[in-house]
Amino acid sequence: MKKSSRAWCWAAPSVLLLVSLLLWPMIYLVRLSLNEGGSKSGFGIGGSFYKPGTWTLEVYRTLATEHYFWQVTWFTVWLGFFVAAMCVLLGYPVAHYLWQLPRRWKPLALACVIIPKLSNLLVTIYGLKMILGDHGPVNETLMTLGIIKEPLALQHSVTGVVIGKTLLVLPYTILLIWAGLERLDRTLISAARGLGATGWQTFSRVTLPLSLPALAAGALISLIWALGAFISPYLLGSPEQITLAVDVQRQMFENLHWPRAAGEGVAMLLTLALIAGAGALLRPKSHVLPR
Amino acid sequence: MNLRKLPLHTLCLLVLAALMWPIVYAMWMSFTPGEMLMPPKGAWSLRWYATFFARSEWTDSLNHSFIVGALSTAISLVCGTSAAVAVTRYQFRGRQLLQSAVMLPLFVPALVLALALLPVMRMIGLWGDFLSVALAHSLWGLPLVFLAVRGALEDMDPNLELAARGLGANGGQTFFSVTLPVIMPAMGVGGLLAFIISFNELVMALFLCTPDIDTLPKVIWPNLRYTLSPLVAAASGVAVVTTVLLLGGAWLFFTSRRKTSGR
Repeated sequence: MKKSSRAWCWAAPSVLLLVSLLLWPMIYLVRLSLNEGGSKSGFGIGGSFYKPGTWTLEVYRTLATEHYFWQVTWFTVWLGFFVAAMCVLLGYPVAHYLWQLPRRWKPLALACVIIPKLSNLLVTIYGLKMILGDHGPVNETLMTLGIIKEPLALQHSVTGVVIGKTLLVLPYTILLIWAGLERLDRTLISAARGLGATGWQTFSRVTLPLSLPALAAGALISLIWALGAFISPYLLGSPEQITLAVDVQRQMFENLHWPRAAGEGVAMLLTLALIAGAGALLRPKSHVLPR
Repeated sequence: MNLRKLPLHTLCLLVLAALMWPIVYAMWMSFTPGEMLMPPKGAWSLRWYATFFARSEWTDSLNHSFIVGALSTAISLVCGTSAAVAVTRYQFRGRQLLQSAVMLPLFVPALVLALALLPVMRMIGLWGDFLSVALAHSLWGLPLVFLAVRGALEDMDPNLELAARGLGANGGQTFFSVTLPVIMPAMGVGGLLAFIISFNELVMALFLCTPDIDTLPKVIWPNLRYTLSPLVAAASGVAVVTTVLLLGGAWLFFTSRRKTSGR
């Protein structure tokens, strides 16, 4: 057997999986968005979700001219950027802190990041719903201290959505930036200190510039995940806080207009591709040492 | 540690605590003896866990989660390990493309994947089968296994395989009796992570599950929106304890790997 054909034998299972479960469904998604919507009868019972074999741009025409869709899209993008900014602002110091921790404490601190990341997201949201509720510990404490008189609307509000989404994305940001810092050559830090730099100078002129690529990667990935926000707006938001992801689910299961759901999915992918493309162009070059 | 850094360190510790707080709080609630969703005052009770395990809708969903997780782990292990071997042991056209394509599912929002998979699963007749959810979850298991095993293969002494071939073993014998034992711990780590991801995944399950195959997160979901019974806290507790136990297993594999590779 030729060497290259043996390589393809090894590659075959994953290629098969990716083609049938990623490439084909994505192509089919675009195709689906070009179908006519199905006829609705009753609650979709007896009707179809779309008319197979039809070709129309109707879905995109509707989306482009619809105020509601643009409103949802803008909220999604705004929330994505806001949450990503929060994640980077909170995540970088924590990643830096983890990196500097003595060996003994590292596993414990890492567990605090990894357990929420791998646990059921619903448990986090469920805990948050109780903590942020009108009679939850946050409102109770603030009222006991006399800082507020009425409980704050931390749930069913944009505040709740931002807090929830930030907590869900933050572990990814921390882990990515921390992994970048761990790859960094620690002798450079000692060298800077040995040459008389203060702690702040070492950070701002050595550590920070060297970790910029990891920081950029962390920011971009937080943004990608934040744009797909579904669970937190659904459970912690009010009906005004609808993201594209929430609306896709509604179009699919409540409105039963599959071509429209597919069209919104395509819109989500395009938004992501646009942002990822811009991010890749603006990415700081690695190996840049400060003068 | 100097005093000027104290505010920053406090902030970091607060963030770490905030990440864990909701989970710990939900667990704490699950031990309440009362009917209301309140922290247990005085005595703790396991009554909601007893209720959880006495109701078939919950135990069934737990079983379904284990079935889907096991299937998904098996698929991820086969695909991820073979892809890692292809990428580390061979030079071929499309090698770079394969490496990036394997990671791609991690960068597509879960909801878009689920939305695209539902019509396809209906078309190929897998809709309503455990395999549909398991296959969907393996899109995320694949990159995890791939990363873990690729690392182990790169760390492995290439002379081991050459020695086996020199002593007359064929390709298959070399892989199963030399390579596989060395990368086994890495496969353990990747496989357990794939299982945990599948066990806790909601969005794909929400789109692909029919009532007959509902997984645990899918059954928790409507209860979160409409009921406030401590039973959901107990269900959360079951999910968290399972996850932490599996993570402990992954950690054991990880440390054993460091010992065997000896580097």
